[in-house]
Amino acid sequence: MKFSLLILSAPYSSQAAHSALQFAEELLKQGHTLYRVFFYHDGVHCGSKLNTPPQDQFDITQRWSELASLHQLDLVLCISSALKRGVIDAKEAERYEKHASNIADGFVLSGLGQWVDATIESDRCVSFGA
Amino acid sequence: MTDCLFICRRPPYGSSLSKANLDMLLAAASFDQDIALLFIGDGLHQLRSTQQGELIKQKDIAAALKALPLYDVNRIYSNRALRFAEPVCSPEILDQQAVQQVIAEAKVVINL
Repeated sequence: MKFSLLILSAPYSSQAAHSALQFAEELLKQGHTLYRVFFYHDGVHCGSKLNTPPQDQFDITQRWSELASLHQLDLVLCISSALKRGVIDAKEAERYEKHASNIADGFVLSGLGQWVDATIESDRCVSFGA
Repeated sequence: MTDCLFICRRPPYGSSLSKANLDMLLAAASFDQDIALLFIGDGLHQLRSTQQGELIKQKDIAAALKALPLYDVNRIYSNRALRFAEPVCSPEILDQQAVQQVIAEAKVVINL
């Protein structure tokens, strides 16, 4: 079955961001397809490579990056949610004259249309958080 | 069948999730999706036409809701009658069974 996930909560604030990751890992393990993961609202904080949890805590961002590279996942951060929360790629950093970018490996910035497309293309959409 | 049902259950201000919900709705509408809205609980306050978001440096939720007819979004429901005058639009009031049916008939439900 083809799944897409909508993630609305920041990592380490609520269980939702971690639950989404565990859900993604399990559905891939069971042989399902993960069409897209869309990070919206506070969920975009999952895509900052500056997230630095203490060593005894699970690194959610790093795990998403690993999964993206293992399974060629499409991890999309909502661009308007991300920019205003300080999650930015090199291209947008240049456009807005910011001195740094921090988007993690495997994530891209794009618009809400990517989520709408995911709802059309997927058999199941599951939201986490909010 | 409804492509996407948006449940609006939060007050217009205090959290930006109400705005996030509307932004997603307008994006879906611009993709020609068949959309319905269901206002429940505190979400009904989003329909107040007298809200003044600009006083707290927020975009007016009512202004966005007024644009719904332009996006051909005409199926707007609520689970109870409004207790204020001159709402932005007048939702069709549904009983519990009808609410369940609207949710069951939607392919995707966004509940923010």
